[in-house]
Amino acid sequence: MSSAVLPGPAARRTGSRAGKRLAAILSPFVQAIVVTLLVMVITFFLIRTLLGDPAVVLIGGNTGASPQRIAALRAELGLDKPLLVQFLGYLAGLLHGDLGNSFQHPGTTVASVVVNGAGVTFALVGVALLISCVVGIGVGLLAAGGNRPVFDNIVRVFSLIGLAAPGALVGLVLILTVALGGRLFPAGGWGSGYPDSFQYLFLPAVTVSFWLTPIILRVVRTRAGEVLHEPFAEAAAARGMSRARLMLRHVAPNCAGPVLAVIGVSLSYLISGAVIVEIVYGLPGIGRAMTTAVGSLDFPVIQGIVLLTGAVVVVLNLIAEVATRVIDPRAAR
Amino acid sequence: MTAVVEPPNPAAMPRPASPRRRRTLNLRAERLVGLTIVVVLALAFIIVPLVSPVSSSDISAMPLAPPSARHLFGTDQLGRDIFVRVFEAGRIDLGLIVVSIAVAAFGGALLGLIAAYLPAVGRAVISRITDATMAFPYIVLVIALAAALGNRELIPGLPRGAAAISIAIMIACWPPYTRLTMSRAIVLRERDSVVAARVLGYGPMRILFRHIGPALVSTNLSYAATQAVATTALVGSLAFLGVGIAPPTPELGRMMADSIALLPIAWWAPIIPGLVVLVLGVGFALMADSAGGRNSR
Repeated sequence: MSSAVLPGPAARRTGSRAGKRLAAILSPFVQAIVVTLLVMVITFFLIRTLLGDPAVVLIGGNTGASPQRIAALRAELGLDKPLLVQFLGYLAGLLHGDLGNSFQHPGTTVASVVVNGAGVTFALVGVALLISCVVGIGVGLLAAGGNRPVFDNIVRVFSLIGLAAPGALVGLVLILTVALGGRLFPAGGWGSGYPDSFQYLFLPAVTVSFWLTPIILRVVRTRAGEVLHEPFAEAAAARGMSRARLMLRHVAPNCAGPVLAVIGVSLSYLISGAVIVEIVYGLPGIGRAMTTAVGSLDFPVIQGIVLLTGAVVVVLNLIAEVATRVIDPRAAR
Repeated sequence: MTAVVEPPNPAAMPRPASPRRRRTLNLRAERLVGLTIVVVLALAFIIVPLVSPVSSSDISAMPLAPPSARHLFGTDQLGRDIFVRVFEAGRIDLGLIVVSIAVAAFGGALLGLIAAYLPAVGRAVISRITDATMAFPYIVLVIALAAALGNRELIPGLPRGAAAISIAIMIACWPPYTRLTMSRAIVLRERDSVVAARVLGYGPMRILFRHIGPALVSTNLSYAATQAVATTALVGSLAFLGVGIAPPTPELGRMMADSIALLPIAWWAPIIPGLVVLVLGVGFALMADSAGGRNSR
């Protein structure tokens, strides 16, 4: 009766089932591509209309540079053409895999800037993920199934701080205490290739993982608690299986699903956190590349970085979404 | 005549007697503590700059002085009193966060309510737009928009750059509210009380606002608090990326970023603003009741 009185959604009567299945599978991919393209287009036009004139910045501010010089530089950089023409030129270059050259350093390709920076940033994120997983899963398993209120409260406080603390603060505190106070790790900077660089990665990675570790910890603790109450686990314990073996061989693998899901969702946060932490520690990653590019109005570099980070994040989200649907078909809307 | 069954309401179900019961009461207390923290901070942000004898731009004191009775939080590299600056900066940051999220939440929820009553086509369009915006990673979106809108004075009276951050936050934050509200409203639409109202001849607007609307407020509020946590940490870090409110207006992130290099000799300059951001974030997190014990059963 209710649906007769109120307007309801129109019934779908068209389309084959196979067609709909295909659309459902493709739809996240299509959306990902569309979003990446949108990011690129919007960035391109926004920075060229709103950010100002790179030629002025390159010549060194308004200190009496003649308009002819500025105009000549603009022509050289291709800035005098209409926006649409510039955009098409950019697209054409993209299709050849050419991201352009930096305005600031015309000899350097955007690609090299981006790749060098990305190498550092992704190394940072990778190590941070490793730390988060090891600590999060380890402590989560330890805390599972127990009813120790003191421990629970410590975890609660840690979760709150980890969630709410800005990455910069955590980094600063760590630098102050560990690097400057205890002299255990360098306070910033970068080494000359691996394995020397690992020592420069450690503190930043811990800083980045501060946010993710409590989340993984709670997820693992909840899930492990559930698994421990399942019949097979209780039977195994009744048969005399040691707690350690029970945890490692039976409970832990069951936690993998939720942990992966959480990681998938948090990846873009992690990357942005990493960018900020890089700047605090002075690491030569994407963060530094981006700030210098924005400061000098180096359009191609800005576009390249935004495109790369946007694409990476979109791809990661895509993988996460596809993985979730594969693991649990009910999750598909 | 069968009514559509409402999804089971966990709060109404008989609660099993368990040692966890105490935790539920603690949950209420947690949210209250969070709210208190935020409110106290907000009041402090407003009052301290007003009553302080020292101005935030007064550079007459000795630079880089450690915390003392005269300068409770010490002074920065220009000799400005950090205590006053921190509270004035907090006012700007908190105001920015609260206003932006409030507008985003209200607008998003409104859109969701309207969408619930539109024909399927309109709903589909709005859903697509919502999903597309949500597909953009939140932080990338905020940073990109704030950087693009730049350091200009978009709204007279506000410090330069503030409007840009605000708009960026609003654009990044509205979609979840629309989605939440729309799906809930569609379910609520079938409720007996709403059906009765419709039969009695109330127009859709009135039904929306007086019958369906109030049921959605708490969900949206709690989501707003969750967003506030992430946004607070984000706003505190924006200055590191060169984006944000231009000097000389004090801003917590900027205060941190500008004094990083001073960490070995004047730790109070970068860390104290950071601690304020942390406390604010913790307050919001407690209000949101999603951090801590709630989901850990």
